Amino acid sequence: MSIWDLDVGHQLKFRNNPPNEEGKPVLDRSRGWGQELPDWIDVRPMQLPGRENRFREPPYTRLAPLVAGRRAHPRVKFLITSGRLMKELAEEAGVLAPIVEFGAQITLDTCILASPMLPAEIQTLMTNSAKYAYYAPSLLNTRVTFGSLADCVRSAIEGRVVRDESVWQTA
Amino acid sequence: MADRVIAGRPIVEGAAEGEALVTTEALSFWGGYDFHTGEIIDKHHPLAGVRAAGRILVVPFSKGSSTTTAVLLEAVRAGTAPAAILTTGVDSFFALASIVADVMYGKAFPVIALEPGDAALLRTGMRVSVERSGAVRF
Repeated sequence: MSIWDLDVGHQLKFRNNPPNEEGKPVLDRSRGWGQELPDWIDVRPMQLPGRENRFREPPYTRLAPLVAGRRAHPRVKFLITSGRLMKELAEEAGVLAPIVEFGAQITLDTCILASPMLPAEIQTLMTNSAKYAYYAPSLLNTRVTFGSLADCVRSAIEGRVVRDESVWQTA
Repeated sequence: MADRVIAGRPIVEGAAEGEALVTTEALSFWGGYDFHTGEIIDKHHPLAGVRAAGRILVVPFSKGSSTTTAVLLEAVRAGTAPAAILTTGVDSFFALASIVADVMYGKAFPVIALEPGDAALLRTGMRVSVERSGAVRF
């Protein structure tokens, strides 16, 4: 699992405030990354995949091999939100077809919190976005599970939550 | 009434009076504040379900999306914004909402930066008044 599976900016907010029990595994996991950082961070510039000189590393490229030849469970909605350019790059790179065949529904240039896209019958959300995980209970009234991209794909295939718990263990 | 006075730094000047609503947890107005009702809706926040409309909100700083400014601006328009926001340190998102609200609606609210030790003197439910100078009486 790469650190890009998690939203680092979200986790760093715990550095200044002791996390509750729910946040503790996140803190424990991220603690080791910041040995050389000060105790308090005002701004943490970072470059995400798909931005600037990481432009050719769209998340689609990582998703394609995970879903190749597989199909999402019929009870699961597998939703992707991304920028239009990312999708076009994925198309150009030839990685979009397996993602579409997997059953993914792609929504461009918006986010699940800002645009209604969740069918009413969906009451549990699994996401690799810390932002979605944080805000969905308040804004979408769903229960939330947070996992890596690979966890989300495995869960979508099996139709139940599957997480690689080993990444949450502390040393 | 034996007032106590804190000398705050006015980031956006203004006078206000109301009941204090105090939290030590940062708050995102985007996704955390319903401008229709003036209620804090972030389920992870200690003030979830509490109305901040018309109150003196004491919060260390905003967090998350810069859209906090837009939601707060909508709250001013809808009449559901806090009467004043007292922070620890300078919060540009809150200040920007007040400055733009003044331009768009002629309704600014005071944004005052307090020393953390001073902010810690304030308790939810206290009657608080904010003066143009940044003085906070309670």
